[in-house]
Amino acid sequence: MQDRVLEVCAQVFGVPASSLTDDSSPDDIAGWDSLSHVQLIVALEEAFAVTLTPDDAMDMLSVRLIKLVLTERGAGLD
Amino acid sequence: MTDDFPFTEGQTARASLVIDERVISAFAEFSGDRNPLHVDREAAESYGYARQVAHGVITLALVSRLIGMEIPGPGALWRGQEIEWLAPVFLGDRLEVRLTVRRASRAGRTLVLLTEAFNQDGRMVMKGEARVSVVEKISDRREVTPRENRVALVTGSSRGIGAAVALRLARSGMAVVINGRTMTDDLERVSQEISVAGGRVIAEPCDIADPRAVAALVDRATRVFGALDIVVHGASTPISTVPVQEVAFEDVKTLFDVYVGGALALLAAAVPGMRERKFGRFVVLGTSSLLGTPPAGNAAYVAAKSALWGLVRASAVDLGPHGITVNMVSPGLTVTQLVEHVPARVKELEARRSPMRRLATPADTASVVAFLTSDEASYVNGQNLPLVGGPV
Repeated sequence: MQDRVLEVCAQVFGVPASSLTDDSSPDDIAGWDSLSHVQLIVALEEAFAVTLTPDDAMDMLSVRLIKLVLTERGAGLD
Repeated sequence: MTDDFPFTEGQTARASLVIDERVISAFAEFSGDRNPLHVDREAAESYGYARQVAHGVITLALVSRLIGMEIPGPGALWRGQEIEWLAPVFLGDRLEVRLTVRRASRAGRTLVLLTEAFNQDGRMVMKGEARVSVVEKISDRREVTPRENRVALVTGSSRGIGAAVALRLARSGMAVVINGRTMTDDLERVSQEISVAGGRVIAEPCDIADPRAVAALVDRATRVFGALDIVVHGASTPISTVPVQEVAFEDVKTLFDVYVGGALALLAAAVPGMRERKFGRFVVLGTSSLLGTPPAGNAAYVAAKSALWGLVRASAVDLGPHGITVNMVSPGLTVTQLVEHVPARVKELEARRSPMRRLATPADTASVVAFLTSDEASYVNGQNLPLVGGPV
């Protein structure tokens, strides 16, 4: 579910899901730092029952990239 | 190349001048030499001369004219003069001054000149010897074809970056020769877009990997538009992502033929005309893969583009003295059909990692190419301009 990505991000970063878009990134979300990014990876792995690689984690630099990586990992977002 | 020391022993130059009141009074005025012998007829008579005697250095003024304007001409630096005045020159005389090259030292860039002056009766009134240095120009803003009359050839301009470059150059007033491997709807569309906007364009399909076809292409461009001033080499063939151990030399050669072979053929065909006109611009399309760590699976592409970059640097050295610059523009991942095979994740990641947070566009490259082809870029040569939205 696309919305679930936003929900997970909203929860980790402490912002309303409605404020997030595919373009959201550490550039415009104050709470998205290296510490919360680790929390985000764990939360995404749990929420979508996937295992992410260190490269995947490094590449998740925006909501759009999170969705692309999760799709590659077979998360079935649609 | 024009000989910048075209002097031979025995070479001569002449100048003549009628010594009238105007000449004498003008010299007296600026030099302050108002010796009555020169400026007052009665005084001249009182010294035993029938007419006023001209200032001796007026003769030298003609020597100066010949040195500055004839032999050696502009760039002359008059270093020394031995002189003997043999007879007076009078008001009303017709003076003829003659320079003859006695010695021409190319190594020393120096001329020794015999300087002689005669009156209207053929009598020698002055003789001497001048030493003149021929100074080399260290900077030269050459006269070039006005920008609006320039002609550009853009290889690989049926779509993507090449098409954007062709449109951009046409918009700046250049006549443009567009090119694709074959005549396609895309090439036709670019041609129409330029024509509709009032631009001058011809579409000339040919295989850039074929040197004979390239020679014919340049010949056609020159015949239609009268010259070829600018070449932008953007042609490519489809690129695939393959691990290096699976790359055959044939794969590299295919790209090499288009990038390096094409560039060599374009240089061979276009440089003679550019040298003649002392103006030329080559801009070749590089890749950001040359700038940092190359992306995985691109061995053939990176190898061929690296070779092209080597050719750019070497050509810049050879052609710079002729007013021809050779540069490369290396955009980051640009959204065109050429990179259709690149996964969405890679494209998105490249955009996120750029300080500008986006991928390059064809227009980004077109504007930099337009700059490199301009007069303003006449001192940019042998460079690879990164277009990646930030430091690399």
